[in-house]
Amino acid sequence: MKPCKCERESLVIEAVRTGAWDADLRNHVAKCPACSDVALAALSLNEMRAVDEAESHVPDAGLMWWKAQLLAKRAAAERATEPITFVERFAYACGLFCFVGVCVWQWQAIRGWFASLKIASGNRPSLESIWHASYQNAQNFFTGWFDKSASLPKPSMTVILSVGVLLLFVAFAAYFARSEE
Amino acid sequence: MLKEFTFSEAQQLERAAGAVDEIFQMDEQTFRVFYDRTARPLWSYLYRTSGNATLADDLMQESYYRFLRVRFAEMNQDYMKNYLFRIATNLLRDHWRHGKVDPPAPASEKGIDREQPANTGGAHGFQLQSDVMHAVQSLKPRERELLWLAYVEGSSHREIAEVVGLKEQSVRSLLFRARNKLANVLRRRGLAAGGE
Repeated sequence: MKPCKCERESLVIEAVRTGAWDADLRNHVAKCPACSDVALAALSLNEMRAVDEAESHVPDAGLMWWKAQLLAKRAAAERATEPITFVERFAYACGLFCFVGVCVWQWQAIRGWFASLKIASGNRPSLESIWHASYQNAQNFFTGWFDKSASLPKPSMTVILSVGVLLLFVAFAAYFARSEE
Repeated sequence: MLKEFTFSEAQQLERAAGAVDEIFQMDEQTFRVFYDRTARPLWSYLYRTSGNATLADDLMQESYYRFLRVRFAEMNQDYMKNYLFRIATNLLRDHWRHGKVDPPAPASEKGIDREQPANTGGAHGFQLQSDVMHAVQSLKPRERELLWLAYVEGSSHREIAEVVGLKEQSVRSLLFRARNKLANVLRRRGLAAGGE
């Protein structure tokens, strides 16, 4: 269907919106099919608009302004604390990474620790026996760990220290970069 | 969660809160004038296009918030009004797209169970409004947008194209089809244009 347009359509719309009809335009609408459709559609929709004008309760401008300011302040505060949140998350991730790393590295010792805990506690473990076994195993674990660390070849120790320092440096760099943003 | 802020972080927060005034290009007085001019038309547009008064309330608030954050090169009232309607239209589409609420499906001519318009003109007035409401609800959301902008807001094809994000030529043909569709439904319901 090709749009058929009458040059007086805009006048009809304006007349419907303002309510200022003249006799000539009224006669034209009665004869012109395009303008008749426009008038019918526009009158119907403007009637709905008139109902809304009378019935709707929009909030006061002051309330809207206050709400917008509140939202903007909240957004600004969120932006300001974003670097802190980022570094916090990064620290949690580093902690988790280190924990998993230590678990993998010392898996044999940890497994032995749990196994001896079971043996020591026997069938009816008492709180005292569990505590004693845990203490003994923790002592053995850390002694063994430090002994191993000391006996590591020098390059390995250097690498571990370098990675640690690098992680620390990356965390600080990320913090400053994000806070500058 | 409570956080302990360092001195520089606290300063940063203060600066951010103070920057709110800089975020809004408009001052409160200008906003009040603009709001009084546009709030009801915008609410009506959102309500009649979405068919949901609560959604219209929410989207109106969000539209003004986003509008206030825009930096206009020129403070032309008509341009700003169109921009506001564009924001509202996009928000409405986003709302439907993200499935928060289904777009109002074109209703068949019988069995529409949507909110009825308020009775402002006695039994005859109510029937008339109800007929018009049902006829409008038989249109697609985009058709309602186009018709509302053209015949209620009096926007030109170019302005409508900017608001709904279509080409001017497409607006012309879609508007023509939507108008024919609405006029036919209204005629079937026994309504005719008399001219007030």
